[in-house]
Amino acid sequence: MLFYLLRIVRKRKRISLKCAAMIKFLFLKFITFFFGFLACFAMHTTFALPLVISAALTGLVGSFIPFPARYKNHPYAAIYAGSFAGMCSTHLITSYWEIAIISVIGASLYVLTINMLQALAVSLAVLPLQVSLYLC
Amino acid sequence: MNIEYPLIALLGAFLTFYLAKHNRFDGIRASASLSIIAYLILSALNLNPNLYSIVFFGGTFICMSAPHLFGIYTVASSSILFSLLFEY
Repeated sequence: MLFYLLRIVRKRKRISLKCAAMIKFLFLKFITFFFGFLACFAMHTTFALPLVISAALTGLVGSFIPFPARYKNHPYAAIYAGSFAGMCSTHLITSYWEIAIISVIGASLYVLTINMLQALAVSLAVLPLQVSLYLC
Repeated sequence: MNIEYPLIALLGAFLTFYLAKHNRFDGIRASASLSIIAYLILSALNLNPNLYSIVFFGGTFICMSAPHLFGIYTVASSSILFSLLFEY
């Protein structure tokens, strides 16, 4: 009986540790996606830079920010994906809450599909279509 | 259909594909730096940079997603598909 209880406790502890790591990863994705989005959006709305330059500059500068090695290149990809989402028109985004909601959706999709789609291939490859739809 | 769109998308994709294999570059850096360079060149030549740089950027974005998973045929077909979707 005691052994059975101990096993349940260990199992729950393992699950909670896994959950904590997942939430931490999701939060990091959210933060990086949000700042990538915000930087790109601010550059092309406030500073009137061209769309491509603002997105590429955000991605390039973001790729030099040091992150812990255990996250591999996922934070950089999230910054770049955020900057790509930030290329959208000012008519679509009217408040910062919308940016936060888009970032939550983007980060969640990224984290949920990361194992399913093997690396970040498809989740990012879909985005050019998004931009072309926004611009046309 | 304009022939420029697939050509520019292919150029962007293949340049990113080969630059991403370099030691100092990964997919993201290659895509971002090539997009900036392409925009500067297009604006210097006065070749409608706002339109063509977006096509180029889309091409680089396709390839930077997974330079190790894709081969040259996949890259080429993705770029052509992207240019078709962009146009229509």
